[in-house]
Amino acid sequence: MKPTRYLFLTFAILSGCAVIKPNPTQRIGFEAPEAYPEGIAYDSVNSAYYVSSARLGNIGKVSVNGVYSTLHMDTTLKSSYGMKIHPDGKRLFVCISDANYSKYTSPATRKKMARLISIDLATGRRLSDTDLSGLLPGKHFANDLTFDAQGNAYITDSFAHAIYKVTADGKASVFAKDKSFETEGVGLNGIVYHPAGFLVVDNSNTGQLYKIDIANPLSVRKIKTDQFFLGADGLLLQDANTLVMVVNGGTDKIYKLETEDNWTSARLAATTLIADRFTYPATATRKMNEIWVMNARFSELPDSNSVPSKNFDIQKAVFKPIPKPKK
Amino acid sequence: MNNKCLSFTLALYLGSITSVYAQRGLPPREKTKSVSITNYAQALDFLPEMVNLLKVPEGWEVKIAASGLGKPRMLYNGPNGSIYITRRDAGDVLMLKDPDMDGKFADLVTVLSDFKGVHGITMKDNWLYLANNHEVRRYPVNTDGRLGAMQLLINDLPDGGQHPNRTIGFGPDGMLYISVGSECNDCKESDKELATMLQVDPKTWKRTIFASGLRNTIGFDFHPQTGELWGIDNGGDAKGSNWPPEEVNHITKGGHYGWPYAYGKREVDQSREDPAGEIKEEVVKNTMPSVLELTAHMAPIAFTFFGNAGNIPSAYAGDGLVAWHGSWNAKKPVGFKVQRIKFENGQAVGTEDFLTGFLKGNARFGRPAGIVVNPKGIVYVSDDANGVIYAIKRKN
Repeated sequence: MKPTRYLFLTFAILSGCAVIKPNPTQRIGFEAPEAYPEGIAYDSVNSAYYVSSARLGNIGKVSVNGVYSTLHMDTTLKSSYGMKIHPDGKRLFVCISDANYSKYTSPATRKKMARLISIDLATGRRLSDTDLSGLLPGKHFANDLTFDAQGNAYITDSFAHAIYKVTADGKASVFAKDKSFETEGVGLNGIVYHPAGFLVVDNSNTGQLYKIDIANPLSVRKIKTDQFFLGADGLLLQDANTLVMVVNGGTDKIYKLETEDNWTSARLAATTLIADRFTYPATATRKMNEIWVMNARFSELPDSNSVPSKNFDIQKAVFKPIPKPKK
Repeated sequence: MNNKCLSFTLALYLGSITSVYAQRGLPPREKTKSVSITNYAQALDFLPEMVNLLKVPEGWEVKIAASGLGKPRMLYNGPNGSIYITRRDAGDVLMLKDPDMDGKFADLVTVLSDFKGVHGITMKDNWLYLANNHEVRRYPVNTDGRLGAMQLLINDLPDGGQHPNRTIGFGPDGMLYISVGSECNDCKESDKELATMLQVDPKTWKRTIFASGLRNTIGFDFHPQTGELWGIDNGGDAKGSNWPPEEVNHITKGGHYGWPYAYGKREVDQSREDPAGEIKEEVVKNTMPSVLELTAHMAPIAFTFFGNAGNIPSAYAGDGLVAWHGSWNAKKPVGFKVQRIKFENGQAVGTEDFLTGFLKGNARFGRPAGIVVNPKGIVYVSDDANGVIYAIKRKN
């Protein structure tokens, strides 16, 4: 083994040993009993985080000091998931479904309902409510969304294995559907729009990422990586060549992927550590040059002995770079 | 009435009101003392370069076949060089394929989700059999490896308690064997199917107890030449750092393998109550001793024979592999490796390290759990701590 490799490995082991004690990075704790927030979006104008709720279906607002208030509540929403602030900065778009943990689940909506709603940030009123469940047969889970430069929204459906498009004037259609998206369980999940004119989407249960041309959505290509990312959840495009990916499902880390070929392939460039103790991290948002992550605590929900949590944390992702392997 | 008469009458009276079942034993006279240590080897973050820290025997090489898999656990060979993986934490089953046969799995799909705690896996006649703590199910396998509609075979296995990780396998006799671990560390179980090897008739799906007194024999397999059943049993905890041994057992019909009263070659656990109306030493005389006794607390998970796989040296014919998950209650961490169990004339005779290097001081970057040998002679080992599948094969 080359000397540089030995040095690197020694460093890796030693630094691993040094931070073996649980050592979570900076957290903003807030009290929102039973919320189990999955989605997050930072509002730089109002200096606040918006968080969704997989158990209650509401949307909350968290100040940077951790004070929680309800922005929008409606138990018929069942569960709220991924969310993004519209480029106009005035509206919050939220994925609504009844996929798993809603307290208000019902046979009529369970794995059937899929909606995209928008909320006025100033008043908390619902401005639009687009039904996505009729576009394809079978089960539905509207999971996450992104906007392109024209204000079109693209939404992942984890159970129908498709991406929907909702135009700025509210028209919904199936944008992309590919055999490679199909899997049992939760499939397509996080999604981002790349300014070069394509979408990047991940898939929790295939552990892979895909690139879809906006101009030609039949062109779906798997992004080549050296490893799988089972449990891949929220995505955030940090810059043209850097993607932040939140991974839960037993891994509970935040990764940075980098590309040198416009997302034909990508490598793992940086990671958070086991010691950071992310607690089922689900989605990420940007605050200036920092990445903040919503710890959804979903691991507690299938565990029948737990009483519902009252407190949740937004946690800062501090990345440790991974040196490039020598060819 | 004199005292003798009184005590005799009292004994008769008490004897008549004792309930017929749930008999308790008498307290043992011996006092015991043991020091129970917990020492959990710390989790190291995984980097692909760490594969260079692993050691395999001369003539073999180890590579990463897939990573980023969360907590992959038990493995089984699928069609065309694919493998199936159960993940008990996620309650799902993965299928991995290597279409260009370059040794790395490039394709992955989840073939089953929502089977909470799914663990044991086996295949027969194009059916995929799966087990969790209560259920055994089977699914028809389609040509693409994905699964058809579920058929529920058994849904009333006893509660898992401490050891819910059922494993299953078909014997050369065509019967389905299920390993059902104990509910507790060292108690007297109330359900007679706990701490047993069950035998299921696939014509009726009715079952009988094949062997008992097996605390948690997750890894078991049938010797390729003799057809005999061998299993590795997890010994009890909180009885000291060096005892009891992990057992290599030849499991035979009607055998009682000692738990909770004895481990190894009939070494009595003096801390236990006597069985009702009996003493431990007498009961233990009729139990089966283990064939090999190995370091305490290493925690055996998968065990498999090399079987009839290709590209395996003749010296390994008839040998097996065991995954030692690694200790949490030994003074210094032990296990965290895969060992070959050597057999001569169908008898287990010794062990030899096969895949080591996961343990670095008091920290580890992997915990071997599942093992499968594919028909081409590639040994796949799952690490359910850092989500990696390692491939060990003969160097060209």
